[in-house]
Amino acid sequence: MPSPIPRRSPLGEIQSAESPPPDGQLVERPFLTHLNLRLHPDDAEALAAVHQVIGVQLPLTPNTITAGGDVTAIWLGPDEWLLLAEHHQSDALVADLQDALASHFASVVDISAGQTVIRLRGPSTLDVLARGCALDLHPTVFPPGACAQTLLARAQALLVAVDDTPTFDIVVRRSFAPYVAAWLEDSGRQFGLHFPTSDTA
Amino acid sequence: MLLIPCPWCGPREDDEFTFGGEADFPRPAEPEALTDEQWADYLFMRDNRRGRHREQWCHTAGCRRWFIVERDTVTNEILGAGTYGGSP
Repeated sequence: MPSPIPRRSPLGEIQSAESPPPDGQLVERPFLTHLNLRLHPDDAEALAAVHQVIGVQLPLTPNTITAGGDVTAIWLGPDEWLLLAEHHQSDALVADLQDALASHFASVVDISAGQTVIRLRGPSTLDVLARGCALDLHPTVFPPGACAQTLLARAQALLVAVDDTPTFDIVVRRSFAPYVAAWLEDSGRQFGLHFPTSDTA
Repeated sequence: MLLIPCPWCGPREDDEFTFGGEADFPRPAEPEALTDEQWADYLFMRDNRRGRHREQWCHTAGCRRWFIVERDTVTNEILGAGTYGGSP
């Protein structure tokens, strides 16, 4: 039997540290489960079925998230959400959701391999993002629990305000990830931001 | 720069949007029943109004929904925006 192909995260060559520091200011959160979920927001039964499976209500207010337990549900559109969860749940979560939604007009797609999450944290976060993003991300306007799909340095990105450290999760497509990572390091250079490498970790 | 009010996401920079041309152009129910002239009229002919203009936009880099904007083509003032079925 051939040996399994080792999995690689989109930023695996930039973030070479074996175990990135949990409080790092700029880290990739690799290998999370990303599911794209679509269903009609008026279908109360389907919403309840999803709630049952993931443990949180899907956010119906535009540009907000609901977090709790293992799954974070992020609003992408009036009938579209991104579910983020720990990687080992991928297959099980997809199967559970598909079972729960079998009799509804809905779709669940595993897009984990297509995108990744970069976490940016610390006092310089807003300054770093402001160089490439037109949105006002100040906590009075964009509090923890808010999210927005927008352009970050001209790349499509989903910004999620996680807490008031401030901490932001930046969800980008796999193919954009090295560019966005390089841009973030460049934008954060004066603050000493860089991804953890095996030399520095 | 235009600040376009997406009905879902609120005002965003025009970089995030794709323009979709004049609104209120329903596809003919039976294209095969049309003459070539009528079909060409549907495909290509637009009013290109001066002044108030209802047009389609897509929030491409955001929620990816199409919606309708009413804009003054002379001043670029945005007069309203709404979803399909709602009134802008």
